[in-house]
Amino acid sequence: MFKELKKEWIFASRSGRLFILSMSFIFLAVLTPIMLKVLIPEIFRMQFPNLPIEEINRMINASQLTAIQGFMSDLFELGMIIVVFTLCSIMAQEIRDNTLVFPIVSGNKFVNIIGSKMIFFGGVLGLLVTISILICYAYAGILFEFEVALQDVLYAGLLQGSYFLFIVSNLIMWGALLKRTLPTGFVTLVVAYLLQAVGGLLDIHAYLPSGLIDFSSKLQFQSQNIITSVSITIFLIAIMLMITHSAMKKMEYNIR
Amino acid sequence: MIEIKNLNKHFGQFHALKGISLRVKENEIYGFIGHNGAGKSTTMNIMAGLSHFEEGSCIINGQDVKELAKPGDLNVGFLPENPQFYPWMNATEYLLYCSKNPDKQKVKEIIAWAGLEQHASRKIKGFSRGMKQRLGLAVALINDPKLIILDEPSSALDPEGRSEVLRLMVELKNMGKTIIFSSHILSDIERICDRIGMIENGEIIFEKSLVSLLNENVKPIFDIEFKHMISTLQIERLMEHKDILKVEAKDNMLTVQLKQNDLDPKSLLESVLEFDVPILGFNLRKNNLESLFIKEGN
Repeated sequence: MFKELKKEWIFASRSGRLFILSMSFIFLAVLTPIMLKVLIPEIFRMQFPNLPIEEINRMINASQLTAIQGFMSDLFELGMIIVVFTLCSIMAQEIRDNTLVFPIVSGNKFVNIIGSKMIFFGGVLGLLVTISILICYAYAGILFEFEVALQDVLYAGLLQGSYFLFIVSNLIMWGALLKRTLPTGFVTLVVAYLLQAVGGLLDIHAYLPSGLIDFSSKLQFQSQNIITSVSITIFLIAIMLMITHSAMKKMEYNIR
Repeated sequence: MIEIKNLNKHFGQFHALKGISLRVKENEIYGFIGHNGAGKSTTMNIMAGLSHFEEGSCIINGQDVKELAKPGDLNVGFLPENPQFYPWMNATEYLLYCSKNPDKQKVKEIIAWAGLEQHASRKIKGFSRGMKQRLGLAVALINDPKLIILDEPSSALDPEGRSEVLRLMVELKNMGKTIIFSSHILSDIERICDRIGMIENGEIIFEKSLVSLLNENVKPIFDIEFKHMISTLQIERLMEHKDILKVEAKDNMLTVQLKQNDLDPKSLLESVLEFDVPILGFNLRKNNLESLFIKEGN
């Protein structure tokens, strides 16, 4: 699978996708603490000129914890859109543009093609999420004070990274089924937001992949609930990859 | 090498292949001709393991295509009509990616064979159509397949590019490869093919060696140019010749079609000399597939 992983690396770096994702994550990681420390208090001061500064700070409740939580919320809302529309082509466009024809006839295995996309983009997103959470942790700690345990932050990064692995498997599966990039992106977003909404409304995050986001953003980890959510996420990822493999085996290639 | 029997395929309601049967022998160049939409690419996709079919059998290199785990198990080289590469890769990276056993030295040799040494490190997005076609041939060869399937390899190229691709194909045959290729350009087929199959509306109309095909179906035609125009009476007299099938006159030119291939043109020449009009030219038109293609297509 090494050559397939190398191909994904060349694609991600030369097409600018890696740059877009890195810059977006780092930008969000740096922006959230600045918003809490500088911009929001400034906006409050302009809106309520007679309010004392202590009262404004109390209302905002800015701290390292709220900065990290705010960043993780941005990661789900904004980061998700950036990730989905940056990577919605990883499978769909390959099928649509017939770029899989040569590799398939040359003997590249479906498992390797799917697996390399999953491992590479899942790994890249996991790494970017962890690095950007650490940046947010460090920067917010400098701006406010260090109050959150580093271990909890790393744990939260791991859970968020795992959630993005679920998103990547969605992009791969919907890409193979729909064979169109934008519909793949929209369907993946609908799935992600629907899971979040259903999990919140029915209070069943612990039984859905959205639980990974919910637990990590609270930075409070109850191991039993997380294990259920992680297990269900792994199960769903496996199912989606099997569906993708089956769809690719049955697919007609080199269609005009 | 290829043994196809009674192949049937539908695209929805459209019956694309209606019981196609064909056979390609080892180390021959097989030309596949037919109009657009006749079923050439569909048949070739099936041969490469890229497309499925409902009925019939397709045996490639002794393997049943229906029982394949993946298309790559067939060990064929395939060049589609519109080869699509990763534009952000260079030729060397792409060939390494498509290799079953990546070997930089082998990739270097194949790039040199395809005449792309100067462009080995250049991104594919900057390649011309001809360069892409040559890279496609290199990809088709990278895993050293015995059988190479080429779908319209020369159609979109300029005469120089076409000639180069045809030369490479003859070289492949000399290397012991078996080639099946489709084309609209009948002169290309005539130049290099050993046998020909014609497909029309999803059915094979004929499958023969090029020599026997031309001998059986295309009657010799002579173009005779005179110094002056020939009278109607003289033409009518010529038509009485027992070996002549058809005579057409235009200005001072006569086009004479004979009834059989092996007739001696001497008696025809003697007949036209009797006109007592100076002859400027007496040429046997080279037999070609064009007329046969049009005849069978209609």
